[in-house]
Amino acid sequence: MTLVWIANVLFLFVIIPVVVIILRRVLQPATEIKAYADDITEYGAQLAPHLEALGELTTTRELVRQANTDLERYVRALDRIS
Amino acid sequence: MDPAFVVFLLGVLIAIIAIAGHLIAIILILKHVVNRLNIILGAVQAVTTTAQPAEAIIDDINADLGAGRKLMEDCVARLEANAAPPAGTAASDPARHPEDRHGPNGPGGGTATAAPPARADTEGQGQHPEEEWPPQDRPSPNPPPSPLWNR
Repeated sequence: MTLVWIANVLFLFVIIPVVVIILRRVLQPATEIKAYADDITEYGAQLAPHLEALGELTTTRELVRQANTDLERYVRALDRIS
Repeated sequence: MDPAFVVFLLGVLIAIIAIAGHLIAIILILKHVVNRLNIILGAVQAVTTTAQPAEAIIDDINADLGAGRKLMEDCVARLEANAAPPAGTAASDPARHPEDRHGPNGPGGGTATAAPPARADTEGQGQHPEEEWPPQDRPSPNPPPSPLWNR
């Protein structure tokens, strides 16, 4: 019976606190990961609206082509003048 | 029942409750993280879809701009070649710089070692009309090209 009481004391004051400490050590990184995931969601989800201007690149390409065509005409006119 | 076993059962119950509580908390946190990661994955896919054709478009823009620049450079080179003085004039005065379009009476018309006259001495006296600046017969579009003149 004395051994049972010793085992109980060990179980209550050693094993259970150790298990709780280990579980807290697992829980703490999980909590930090949750905070990081929240931050990434808050700032990463804002990335897409900032890239809407990429859709204007097609317009920029067309404008550059038109400017190139006009530049060719200008150079031809200069050649005719000189 | 022996009190030792009761205490043992209580201890086991406490341990099970502690373990279950922590595991449930971890499960909830991991669920939250998975949901957030799904949202982030959707945003990243949207960004990838948006930015995917940018490289080809930017290459086209660069090619067009490069072609325009080359066209302009060739045009400027042709214009400069057409505006250059005739070869006979340049050969009669080889000491002058080929790009000097002011002629022998312009600024810097002397040799490179000649000291320029003091401007205060010649100003308003007309003793050296060939060294007056700007020349009276034509406007001066450019400043004197020779650095010796400004000493």
